[in-house]
Amino acid sequence: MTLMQQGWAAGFRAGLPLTLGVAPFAVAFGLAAREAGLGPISVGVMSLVVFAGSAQFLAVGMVQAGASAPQIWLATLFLNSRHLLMAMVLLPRLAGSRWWVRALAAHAISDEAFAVTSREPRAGAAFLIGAQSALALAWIGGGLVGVIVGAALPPAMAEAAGFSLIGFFVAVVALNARGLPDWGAATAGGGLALLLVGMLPRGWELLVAGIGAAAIGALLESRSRSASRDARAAG
Amino acid sequence: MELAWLILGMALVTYATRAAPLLFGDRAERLPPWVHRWLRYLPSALFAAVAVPAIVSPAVAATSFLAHPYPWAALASGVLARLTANLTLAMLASILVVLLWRLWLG
Repeated sequence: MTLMQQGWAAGFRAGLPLTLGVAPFAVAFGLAAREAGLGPISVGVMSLVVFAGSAQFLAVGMVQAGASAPQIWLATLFLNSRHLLMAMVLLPRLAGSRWWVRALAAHAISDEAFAVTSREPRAGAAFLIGAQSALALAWIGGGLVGVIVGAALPPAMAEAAGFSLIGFFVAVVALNARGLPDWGAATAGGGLALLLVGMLPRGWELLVAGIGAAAIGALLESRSRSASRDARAAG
Repeated sequence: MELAWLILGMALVTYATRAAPLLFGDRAERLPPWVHRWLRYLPSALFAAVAVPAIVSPAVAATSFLAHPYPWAALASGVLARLTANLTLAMLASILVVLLWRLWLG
């Protein structure tokens, strides 16, 4: 085996245990996507070429809310900007590889593949691609299972499975909330979307609410920072 | 056709966020701090913007807001996420609430 094959295999092995965690979300994505009108080909291709769980969930939610493709592209850009930070951390590890390996490795940057790769001090591009290949089996396979099984479900089960999307959003918001700025951003996001629906052209209420509410969160954070600075200065 | 464009555009945009540092180095590190801060709250803000109307609008159309499974399913998911820190469990709970509601209460 060449060094690259060894790296790939090591990454694949490191990624395998994570597939257990990814699979339920993959199936849920397939089920929800079917409820939004996507077929097996769309689900499979989207999972392969986009390969970003949160953005794909958000896209399905926005499709259901009647958003247009450009609106969803914009939301995808915002949501996936965290990849930028991960890619910058991984940059030195990819430096030694050929351009096409680096180009492929870029597509292999996901939250999970990033996590296992950054834990492994000597892991490079091949390891990252190996880890993402293992995750791809679960993400694409699970999505296909969801979208195909969903077609056979009775209406009550299909509706419940479609709600997994909303259940996922609520759980992520609740889990990530650490303080007032987080709760403020989430409350403002939901409130603004409700307020603006019907006032703005379809779909824009989601983007405007998201953009505005994130700004409210950032503002609340700067305020609490300067408040604690003042407290320290006073103390 | 619309769907093919949607997927293609999402793929390009997502790949761009992953590959930009390979092309431009770590210049993005010099983004102003407020951009970083804003991006940190964006996922919660966007998720809430999509989730809240999807929970509230069908429920408001029902006879009474609390006579609809979605608010309860969302509550179950949020509470379980806080208590167990387990996303899978929270998501499954929300599915179960909607399913049991439909089977027993219609």
